[in-house]
Amino acid sequence: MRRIGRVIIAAATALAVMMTGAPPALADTYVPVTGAGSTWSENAIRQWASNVEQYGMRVNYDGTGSTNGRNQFASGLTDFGVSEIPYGKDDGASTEARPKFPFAYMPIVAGGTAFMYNLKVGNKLVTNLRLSGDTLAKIFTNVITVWNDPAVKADNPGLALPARKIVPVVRSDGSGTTAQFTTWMSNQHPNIWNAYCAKAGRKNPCGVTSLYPVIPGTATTAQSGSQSVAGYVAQEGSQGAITYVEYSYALYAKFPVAKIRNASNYYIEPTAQSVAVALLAAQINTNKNSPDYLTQDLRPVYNYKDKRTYPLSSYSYMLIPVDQENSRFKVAKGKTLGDFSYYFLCEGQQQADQLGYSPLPINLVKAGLEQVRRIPGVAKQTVDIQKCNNPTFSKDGTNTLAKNAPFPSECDKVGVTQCNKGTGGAEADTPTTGGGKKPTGTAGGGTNAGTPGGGTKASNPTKSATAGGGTTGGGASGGSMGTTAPAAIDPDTGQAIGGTGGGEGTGSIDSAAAIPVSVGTQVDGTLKTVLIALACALLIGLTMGPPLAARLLNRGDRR
Amino acid sequence: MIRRILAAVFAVALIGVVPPSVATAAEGSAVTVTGRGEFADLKVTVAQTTNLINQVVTVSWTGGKPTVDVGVYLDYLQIMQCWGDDATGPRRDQCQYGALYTDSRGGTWTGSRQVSYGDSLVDKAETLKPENGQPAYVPFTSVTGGVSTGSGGGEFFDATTTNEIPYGRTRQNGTGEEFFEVQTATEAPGLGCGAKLADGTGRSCWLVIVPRGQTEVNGTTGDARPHRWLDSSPLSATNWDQRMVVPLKFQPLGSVCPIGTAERRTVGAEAMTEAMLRWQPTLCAGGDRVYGYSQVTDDLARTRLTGKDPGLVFLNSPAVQNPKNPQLYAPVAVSGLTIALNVDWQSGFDATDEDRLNEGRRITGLKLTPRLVAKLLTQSYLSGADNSRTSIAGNPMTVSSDPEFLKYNPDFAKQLAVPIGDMLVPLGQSDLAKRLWEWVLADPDAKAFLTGAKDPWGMKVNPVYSAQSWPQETFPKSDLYCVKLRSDAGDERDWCTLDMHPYTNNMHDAARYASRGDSLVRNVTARDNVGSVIGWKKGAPQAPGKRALLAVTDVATADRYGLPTAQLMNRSGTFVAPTTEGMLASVGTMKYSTATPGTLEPDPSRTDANAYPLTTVVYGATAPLAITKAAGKDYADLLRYAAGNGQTPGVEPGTLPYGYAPLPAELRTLTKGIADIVEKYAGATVAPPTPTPPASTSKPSSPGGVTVDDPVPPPAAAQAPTNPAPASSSPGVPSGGSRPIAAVPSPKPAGHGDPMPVAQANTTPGHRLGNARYALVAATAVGVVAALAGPALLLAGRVRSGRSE
Repeated sequence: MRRIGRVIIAAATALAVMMTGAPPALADTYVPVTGAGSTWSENAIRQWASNVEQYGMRVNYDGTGSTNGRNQFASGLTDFGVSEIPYGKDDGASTEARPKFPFAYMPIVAGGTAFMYNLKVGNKLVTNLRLSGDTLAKIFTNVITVWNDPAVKADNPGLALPARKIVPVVRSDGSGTTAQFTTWMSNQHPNIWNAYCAKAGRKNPCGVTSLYPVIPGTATTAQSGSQSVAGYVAQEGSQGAITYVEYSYALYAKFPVAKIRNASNYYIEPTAQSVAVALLAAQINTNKNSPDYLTQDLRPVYNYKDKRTYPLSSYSYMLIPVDQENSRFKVAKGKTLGDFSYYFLCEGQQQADQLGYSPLPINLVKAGLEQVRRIPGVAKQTVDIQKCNNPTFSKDGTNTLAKNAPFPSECDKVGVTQCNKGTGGAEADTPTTGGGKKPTGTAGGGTNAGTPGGGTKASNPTKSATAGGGTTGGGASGGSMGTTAPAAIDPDTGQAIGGTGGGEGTGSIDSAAAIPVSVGTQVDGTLKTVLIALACALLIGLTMGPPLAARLLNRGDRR
Repeated sequence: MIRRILAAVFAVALIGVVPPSVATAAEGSAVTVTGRGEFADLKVTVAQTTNLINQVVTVSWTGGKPTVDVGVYLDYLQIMQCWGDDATGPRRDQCQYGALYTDSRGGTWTGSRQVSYGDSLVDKAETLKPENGQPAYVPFTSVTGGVSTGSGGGEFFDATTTNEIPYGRTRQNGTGEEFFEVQTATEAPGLGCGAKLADGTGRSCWLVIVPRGQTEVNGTTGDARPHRWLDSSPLSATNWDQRMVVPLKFQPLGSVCPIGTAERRTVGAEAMTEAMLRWQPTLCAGGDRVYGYSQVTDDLARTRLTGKDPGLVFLNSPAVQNPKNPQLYAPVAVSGLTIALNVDWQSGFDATDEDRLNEGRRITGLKLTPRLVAKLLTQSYLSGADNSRTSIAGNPMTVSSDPEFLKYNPDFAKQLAVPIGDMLVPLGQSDLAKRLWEWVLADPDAKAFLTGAKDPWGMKVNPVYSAQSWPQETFPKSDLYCVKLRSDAGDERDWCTLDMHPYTNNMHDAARYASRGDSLVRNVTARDNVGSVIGWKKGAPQAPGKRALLAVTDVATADRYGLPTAQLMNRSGTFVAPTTEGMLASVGTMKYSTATPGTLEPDPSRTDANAYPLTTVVYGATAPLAITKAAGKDYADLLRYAAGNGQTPGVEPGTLPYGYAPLPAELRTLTKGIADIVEKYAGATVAPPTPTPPASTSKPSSPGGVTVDDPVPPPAAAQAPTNPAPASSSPGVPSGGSRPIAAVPSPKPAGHGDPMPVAQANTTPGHRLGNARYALVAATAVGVVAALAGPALLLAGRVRSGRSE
């Protein structure tokens, strides 16, 4: 049996070789390569690794955290490392070991650092939580400690938030996700961040760190690795918990993520598209002589004015040896690492969206391919950028994904309204009440839990939301919703996104239901009905006939 | 048997003629080699030596001296794979060994390539001498000509890729067993095994076993040395002389897919992953089409299926049907959720001498009831939770001190208490998790336990869990608590649930870590760059011979890692393992879903004592109207492959991995029919749907509900006579639950064709019917009532007639 199969496989193989002119197997032998690092990127990397098995490659990856990934790569324990931040960017920079061999940063995948949370109102999971940056920073620095804090309420006019304790869940291991988050905090909310660091006994100003400071006695809990922070929040008993983790973890855990307010006062979810839009503003170090060539400066992203922007967008790097062999990395491995890189920069980016990431834009892919050519031993194939099957590419050089990204619904704008659509892995809608007009009291949460220290007074110089949704235009846009606001058009369906004004305040806006799509010509109705009737009659006849007949016959017997 | 004797005779004849003990044997057979000198009684058998690919083969032996592993490590086997074109066997520089040198359980250099050990231990036969104060290493010469000098395998292999077994353990009765991963050129390019040679065959390689006793390379034993263990490398000349070699013949490696082709995207739940990985290299053969596969959760697969770009998804349970953009489902694989075990026998105080012979042997099975599984998954054993909790005070420490467990697994009474209080479980949503909980809830005892009632021995569920609503779609670890643990720096630090019992990323990782004896526990002090303590990091795996882990995974993955699986109690009260028979028996208790044509659902009225309870049928699904014509063709081909060659069990590329049960013929026919419809109706703008009668539901071989209003097929009446499929027990009444399979079919040997003519066009992309579509359901319901009423009336009639007589 097996032999027949083999013959057939062999024949098929021979045929394939003839048809495609593929070189014989030996020429395609790849030396396995091994890497370690970021758990932020792990879900994408491991998918690519399993997909290239069909090309004969074996790529091993161990998600040990970015800090560990950089250390292992520097010590020559791995062939490549993966990290969210370059060497020497966090507070451990002075003591961080760097590789003694030439290496480069290659962008691999973009994504949003998401804020996955577990919060119920009544017995229903909240899926549409919104947070402004100021509130977010205060939550993770124990300034805001309860969910019904006025600042959180101001962000969420449609939710009756409970008086539940907020449990910030942070990473205990050296983490690039922590570094990304603290980069944002130290840049956007330095006062809040520095005050927290000072309390935690860190140096001041605090700056970027991979090791999140935890003050004993606070509600904050530290867990190791993206799996554990996501796993912690996902527990039934973790009501009130919120963590920072790559979007894909929330998708897999079927949990919602907070929409974060951007510079244009829209609350945005970290989808592939909103990340792609945001990264249009990223400044890439394009100085080839800089040791940080191709690393990102995300400051312009944080305040990018495009209303589709997710502000905490970033991309992660692969650390690759370049220009010459080192004690571990020889040319034989270069072929594998090179072809693997070609794969994930082009074809592999197709999977990004599905996995909860965002595909790299063309400028980064081009620059990444330049780095790939420097890998010792790489098969220097000229990659036809037109053939590079990356979903962001277009003929005119713009980022297709960003260009076609839908505009946010007006209910996502700062103001008295709030979209009820679920986020992340949680698809269920959350009913919203009539905006900020009505008091939003619930059992247990009815009374205001006082004003936590500093809760309402923004200590941040940038314009930020304070209690009451008081930014200009909030109320106005809510009221005129659906009439004056330009309707956002979904590029794929040609349908307007978001509800009409009529549903406002009752929670029917932008429902998760599909937009009707017309189908082809239908059968003539009468014929169909007749046929159905016939079928039903037949069926009934078939089932009821035999017993009835049997009964008749039985009677006959008895007589 | 004769082959084995011949092989043994041949092997014996060779002793003394050529230095290594070489054995050969006829194709497909096991090979046994015999040791020499002090190892003359040792007979090592390699279960498969021909036709190899990347797979695990069993290496077993008899006549060895029992391994000493208390305090010191003596009397063991060192096993490695080598290349070499010489007929007598490989040279020592051609062997993949020495990457695990940090594992110095045996001695300082027993796991390394180093062959100079200082002045106190000198191998006189050794030709490689230390130079300039640098120790001497046996270099590794690769098949490609490259040479790696120094301690490891350089670019050719390292600790993460090697398959060497440095310490093969012999039990008290002189037998032993190891599971050796044979590697091809893909996994071990330095060896090049199976690489296609000019004559079209695959390159042969060697398995080398170096037996180790108690004598060192300088002839000293025990007391003559400062310590009683061995220090030298198996590659040291004196040790290498004792080697036993077995030739390994490989299948020529198939071509791989051409890189750079745009992939046709598929996504799927994990139960499909092993099969897709196996099929991918074959699916791309003969065309310029390559399939990409991304593993997602069932839920994300459903989201994609009902979205704008459905592609082809693989899932365990269907999505909600959308009449405007109907989805088609086709069975593609039968698998199951399993509890895999890596538990070594450790004799307890009550063990007899006979029991003690099992010391360190891997236990091959367990029996678990739904309640035991519920206990293991709810942090109800003290070792799985905070044992200071009063809420669970009095519960057993671990599963092996639970009277219920001992009732079904009496052997464990003779063992030390295994430290199993929970299992390795994956993070995230999965339909299979929900199936497991449904199985637990279907058992009255387990349900009572889960909802708070004590078991007969007084054990109660961790109340954190009884407060939750069930079934869930995940494996919760809801009792989040911390205890204090002392770090290396001497301070007490929080040590919490997810440090003690971390999640794995997915079921694959659960099985992989279980197979390594790695519980993932983070109990080692972690420090930052400057040495300050920052928390906890992962500790060392459990020692071989002392492993005790359970993992929740899928059957194919458990098989991939060679893990035994637990027998689970089914509804008949029988303990059944996830074998092909058990899973197919379970499929036999399912009925065709009327709500979602093409899928199966449990039939509560049917039980089978042989049915494995956590069996799943994986479906390939798409929405033809939402995909392109070209995509429809590719997906249809994939479905046809899944229903054809893809169901041949084996280890070669393109086959069905062991651990899946081959799809029953009836379901394969169904899938092929659906593939045709997918191809025909992909991209609806081109081929607008046309009318059809729904009557095809009543066709005998057309499982109920597969079709509603398919426009393609000829009317049922025309088709029925040509359909050779045997009429099933209740023809034509879908809700009557026509049984998908009557018997276990044999897998298709080869070829895309199927001996059974495809009952074409049973399925449909489906179209809007309005309320009329409910008519059939209503009619069916009437049918059911009628079917039940008929016999009842008859009975009533008989009773009445009996009275009248």
